[in-house]
Amino acid sequence: MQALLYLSMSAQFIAAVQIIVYAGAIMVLFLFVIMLLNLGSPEALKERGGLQAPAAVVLALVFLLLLAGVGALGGSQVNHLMNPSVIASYGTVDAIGKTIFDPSKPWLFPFEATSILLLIGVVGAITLAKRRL
Amino acid sequence: MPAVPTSYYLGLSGVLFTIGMIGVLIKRNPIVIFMCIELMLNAVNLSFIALGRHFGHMAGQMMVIFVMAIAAAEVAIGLGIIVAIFRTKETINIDEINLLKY
Repeated sequence: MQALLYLSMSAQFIAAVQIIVYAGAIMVLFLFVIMLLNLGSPEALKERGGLQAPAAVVLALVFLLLLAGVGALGGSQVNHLMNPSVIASYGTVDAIGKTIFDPSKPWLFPFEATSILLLIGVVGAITLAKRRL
Repeated sequence: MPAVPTSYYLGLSGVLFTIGMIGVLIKRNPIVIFMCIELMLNAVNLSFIALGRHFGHMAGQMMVIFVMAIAAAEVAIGLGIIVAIFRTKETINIDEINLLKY
């Protein structure tokens, strides 16, 4: 669904990555953990009553109103139809690769930092999941 | 072919973010809370892409790539933590996970 929205905004590469990461990695992780936990009866996780749920809904409505207010104030700038004459290569793998690996743009260092972050994530997940190191 | 206005995408993004926020605030199951956090991240991604397209700038798509990488790492670590907690406490109800309080 979200990938389709990305496609409609000419972000082809992001749409493909969305499907691969979310359907291939994150959803599988969720299903795997649900299988591992073997929670049994749903009674243990019964939502308790009290003031929390109504308060949360009220706060969320306030938040939505705030967003709508900001949109109404600054919306005139984004309300018009986008200019369809953006460059044809916008959102392709080619354009993204050229942007991300361009040393004159600020994306190269975050890219490398992300690789280290993912490495730390892998090591941390293994450490957490192992019974004894 | 007329394009969809950017404000529609931003509105959808705001609604998705609010749904995720409600879920985080009222749910007791940390797995559902993680799904709601993913929903909020996706809402932000959607507005990044919409605004990036609107201004014809690549920065929006770059940010989405990094947000996705961080979301993947966060889910891996978070679910690992949930499994570890379940192993020691035999429950994952977040109302009963309050060891840091004492």
